[in-house]
Amino acid sequence: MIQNGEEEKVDVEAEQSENHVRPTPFRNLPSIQDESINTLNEDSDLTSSYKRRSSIKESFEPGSLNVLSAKYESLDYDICENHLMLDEERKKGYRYVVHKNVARWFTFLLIGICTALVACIIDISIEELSYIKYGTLSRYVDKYITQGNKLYIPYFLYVLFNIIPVAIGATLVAYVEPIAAGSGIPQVKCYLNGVKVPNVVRFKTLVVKSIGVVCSVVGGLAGGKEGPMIHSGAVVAAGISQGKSTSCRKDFNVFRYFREDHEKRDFVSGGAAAGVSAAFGAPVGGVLFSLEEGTSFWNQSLTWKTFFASVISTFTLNVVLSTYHGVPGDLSYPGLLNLGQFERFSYEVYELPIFVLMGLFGGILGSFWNHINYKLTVFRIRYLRKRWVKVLEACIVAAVSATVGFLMMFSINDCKPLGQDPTKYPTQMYCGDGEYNVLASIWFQTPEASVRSLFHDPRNTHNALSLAVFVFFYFFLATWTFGLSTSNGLFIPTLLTGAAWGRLVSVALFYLFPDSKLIHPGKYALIGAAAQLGGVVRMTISLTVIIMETTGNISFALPLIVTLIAAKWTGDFFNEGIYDIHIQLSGIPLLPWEPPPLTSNIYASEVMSHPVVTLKTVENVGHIVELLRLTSYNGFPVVDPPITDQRHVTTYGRIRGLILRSQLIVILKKKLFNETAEWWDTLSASIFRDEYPRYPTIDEISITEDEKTYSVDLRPFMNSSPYTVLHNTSLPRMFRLFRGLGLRHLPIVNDTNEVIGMVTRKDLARYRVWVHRGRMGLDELLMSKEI
Amino acid sequence: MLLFVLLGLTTSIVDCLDMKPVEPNANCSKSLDNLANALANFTLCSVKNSKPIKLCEKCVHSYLEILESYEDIVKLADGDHKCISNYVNLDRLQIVDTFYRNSYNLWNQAKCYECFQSINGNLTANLSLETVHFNELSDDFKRCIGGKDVNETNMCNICMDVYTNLDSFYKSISNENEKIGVCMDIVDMMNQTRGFWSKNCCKYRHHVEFIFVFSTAAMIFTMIIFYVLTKICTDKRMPTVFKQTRFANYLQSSSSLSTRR
Repeated sequence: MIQNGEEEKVDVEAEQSENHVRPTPFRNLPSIQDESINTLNEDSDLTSSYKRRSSIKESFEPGSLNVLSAKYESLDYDICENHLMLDEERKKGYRYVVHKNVARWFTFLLIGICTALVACIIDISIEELSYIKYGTLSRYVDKYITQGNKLYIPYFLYVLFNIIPVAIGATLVAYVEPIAAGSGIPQVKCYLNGVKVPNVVRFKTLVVKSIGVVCSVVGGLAGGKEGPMIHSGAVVAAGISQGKSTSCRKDFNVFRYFREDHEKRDFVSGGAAAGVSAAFGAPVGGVLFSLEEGTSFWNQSLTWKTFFASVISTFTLNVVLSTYHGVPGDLSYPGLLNLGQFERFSYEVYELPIFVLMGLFGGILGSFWNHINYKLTVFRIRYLRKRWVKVLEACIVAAVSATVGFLMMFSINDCKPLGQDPTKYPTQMYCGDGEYNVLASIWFQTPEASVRSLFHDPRNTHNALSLAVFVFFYFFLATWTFGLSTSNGLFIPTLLTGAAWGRLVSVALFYLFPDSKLIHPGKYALIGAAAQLGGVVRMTISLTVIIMETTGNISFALPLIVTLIAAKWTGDFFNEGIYDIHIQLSGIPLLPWEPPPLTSNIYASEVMSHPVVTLKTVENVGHIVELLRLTSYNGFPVVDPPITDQRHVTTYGRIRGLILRSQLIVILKKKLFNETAEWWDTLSASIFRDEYPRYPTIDEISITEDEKTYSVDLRPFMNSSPYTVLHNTSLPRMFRLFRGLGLRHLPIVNDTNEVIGMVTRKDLARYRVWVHRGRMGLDELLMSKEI
Repeated sequence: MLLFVLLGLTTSIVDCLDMKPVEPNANCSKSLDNLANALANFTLCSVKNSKPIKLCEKCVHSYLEILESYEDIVKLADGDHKCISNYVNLDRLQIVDTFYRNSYNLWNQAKCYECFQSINGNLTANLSLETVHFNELSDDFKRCIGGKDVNETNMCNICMDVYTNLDSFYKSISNENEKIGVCMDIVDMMNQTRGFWSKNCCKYRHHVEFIFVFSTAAMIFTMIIFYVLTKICTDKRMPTVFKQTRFANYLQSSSSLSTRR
């Protein structure tokens, strides 16, 4: 860490001459020595500190991993225990508790059902549309191929069939709801971690996401529908549990008591699990996914309810899809991604080293994949900012996908007789009669069906050359596609790449040991797929279980775990998982599992933001309004007025409670002033819930000049027992408290219980450990408002 | 107590010893012989006609025999004792059943029933109409290519129509997508015909596809141009860093204030 700091310091000086700064490694010293930062603003008025901050000019190039965005806020998981809530609790009684519990179970049931229905709609639309698309294409290719120099007709048709849906999907995403881009897993992960990602669980997002995913999969992009399913599940859960939708301006007046971040997060974790479960037919995997990604606030009963929602989700999906496929009641369609049951295959101990090697290779390929995607994403952040450019890029990717596919089937004449393997749209190309072109059969179907055929087709279906060419191009197409302004996930393309090279390994092994009975191509395809996926996303528990459940092969747990561990460790040696890279690039202050190691010598007094904007227990309305206008803070410690009122002597107030911006806004909106006490309606905690989750901004609230002279007693509204820590608390200690309880604000007090600082998520998240090629260190991240 | 158990044991042993060895009656063994012969014939026939596959056409009679004699043996009963369950399928091997299943499965996997007419669900030895028509077309094709030199380029042109007829008829009766809906004889015959045709006449599928190749190249070029242009045309954005205030710089600023004062 130290010697690194030396190297980097030189860099920093070199860069600063060009008016850039690079994020410096944390030196565990007061890092600011630059006199220019201390501006000449001499008054220590607390609100002026805000103005001072914005006057500093230092800039950096966008697309940096080491800058946090200031625009992300935390969710309020901590329940505000104020007088109103205590009153409410006193009135309700145990009947209310029972009622709420029943409602909660019912909500989880609804979440399971609705998530599955959304999944069904997506799946059936994709199936129907691709039937039309690929059936037509296959017919046209065979019609024009014999006519001489007319192959461009089906080619342009293919390009057109790709571009039109992709253009629709990309336009929706770019213009209507940009948060619906990509797989949605990073966003859901951040939400469960406690970051309020704007619009992530809105109904509008669900609509855009669903249409977008249908468009991009039908459009032939190298993407799948599984990641978006998880996001859809999360939105469905958030929507149902709230009983209202702001996008539709509809309030059903149900489930009012669930309208707070704490309850909503529980439901969202259930919804994400139901989404995984619907996507992969893996209820246990779904629960574990929620556990792995959002576990910092976990409890037994929530796990159980989540499991319930997951099972309901896969069951509902199964019923609907079985009916759609003409076998009602057969229940053989547990998930969207149906990898099919493997016939039983066993493995020998001597195969385990091969699996480890494959995991290693998957890790290397995966981190390479991530690196390319990282570079591309940085390019996109820097240069592809306009919406129409994003749409254009998606269309170009779609057109090039068609081009690559068509060129591949045009140039590689790999023929197989019809009728031996299940082929949905056999295309003859240059093959003899009664044969079909293997590459055409891979390209003229959804990628998911291709994965299935790679897993299950008998050994000689694919020849090595066509597989190798396919892997090579598909690898780059997939990494190019992820991060476009379209809703598609990366599970399927990654699985497809991995399955294809896994099959190649089995071909190679078969040449080396021709008489070995154990070389089952499907087995190696599965291991390859797991290795590749593990190398890209670096998930462990849930991924193993998901793969186990989708393939229905429990005895295969050990090989899968061995492979995934090898892939993860190898990948982590080079870079981070793809979701983390995307999260870091968007500057979201995600709190990792553990506090950074070796940081016990960093104290709260260094971590905290120093001049804290505080409010007095009885505060002037005009002051509150001014404060809310000037600052962007969301929590204000409420203090006793300081004893002295001198300007140049620093004084702190003794802490009495904590009040949130949203509460102040509601107070101002409802005009709960001391002077107007006789006109108050009955006060209850529900006045705060009714506005949830989108409170008006301060500019939307009209306060007359007269009212500005009034005063407010904040004591009944504030949280009178906020968590506070002493100024000499260490960073790991605060981190654990913060993460374990899901806090949003942590006031720092001195020995006499006076507020001297405030620690929020961003203050903690800016200390980040980096690990690269076996070295480690600590970075102190920068902060920017413009990313 | 112990006595009772002993008593029980001895009586059951006596019961066992008392039982006569199983001896099928005369009727039963006669039909068993019949079935054995039929099975042997069918096996012989099917192996002989395995390449090129003529299983359905050649072995339909012996298959019908099997069905008949098996039905006999199932129906045959001596009072309450059914021949098949009391004398034949007693043991773990179940020889008769195994061999019968074998032939049955072979027949059905080859979908031979598609080749023949069936009356009231019973198989007959009469060829179905589709099979007859297919055979006619196939014969036409054979006649056409017969006696011609394979290397002669004319052959393909002359027989094209006949071949196309055959091929399209085959397509109309088979469901090519996921399951083949015709019997194996026809499938095999068609595969051979197609193989022969593709080998000799499919060279004419290849053409120069200049426009296609050119347009793919243009597409790739467009892609490169797009990225280069966006890189050139987009102005650089330099977001500013937002400095947070810390206790440390506060101390500094207050100390600098005090020094200034």
